[in-house]
Amino acid sequence: MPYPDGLFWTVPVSADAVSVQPDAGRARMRVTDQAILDYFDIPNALFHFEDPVSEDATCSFDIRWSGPVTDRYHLTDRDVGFTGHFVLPKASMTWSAHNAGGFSFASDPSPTTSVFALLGRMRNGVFLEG
Amino acid sequence: MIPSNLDPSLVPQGARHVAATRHLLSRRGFIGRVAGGAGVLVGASLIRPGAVIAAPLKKNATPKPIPGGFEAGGIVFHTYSLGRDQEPSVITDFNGFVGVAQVQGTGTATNPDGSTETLLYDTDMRFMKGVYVGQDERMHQGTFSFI
Repeated sequence: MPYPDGLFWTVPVSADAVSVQPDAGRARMRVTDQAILDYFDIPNALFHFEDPVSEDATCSFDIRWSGPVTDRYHLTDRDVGFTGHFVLPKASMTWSAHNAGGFSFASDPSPTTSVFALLGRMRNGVFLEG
Repeated sequence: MIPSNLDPSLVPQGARHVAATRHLLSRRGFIGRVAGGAGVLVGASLIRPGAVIAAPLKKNATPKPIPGGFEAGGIVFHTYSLGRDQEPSVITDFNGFVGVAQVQGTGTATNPDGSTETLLYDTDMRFMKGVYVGQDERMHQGTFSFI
């Protein structure tokens, strides 16, 4: 299992890191100095075969979801096992990171392109039929 | 953005990452750092939660991954790619709010030798905020970031 307990590239954050109003197509996720690991490349991130396998790193980001909402829909997929109400707004973000090896990255203040953005209220697993 | 020198079998269909478009082969790290998958990948550095994932949580409160996902190298990685009809959550037994953002832009990378360069990035960032049944089979409230 390449990640603890099989959970994929996911970290717990404080509750106030995320505010969301899905019906309005608005949300924000702000995280500062989140401790993570830099795995250098995707294959190594998946299979952990390089030596050293990773370096300590931190990242900070601020993502905003906002209108216009281009679609609202209900979706139930019983094969995969989830259901929910979703909206498709736009998103923008700032992002920075640095690792212990001296590499750093900071996104430019110039506008970002929202390729795909989604907000919703959903349930799966034991809550699917709830 | 997925480089041509990356094994396509390692790249989940439809997924995106922060991607470098210059000097892709100038350092070891540049090669894979523009690969697919999920999360954020920046120019000269693929930065992932990896093994620190559950550190702030007690083991028994850790969420359970969704049962499905994409397969690479015989291993199922428990996430789906971005899309209108795709499951956005990576946590199962979950009831709450989700957000997904695939965003592209430019940024400045600073290498260890002090040199800088402009890079393009392409992200897949998500959140899950709500209640979930943890590995202890108890209900918990939590907020999670897919980075």
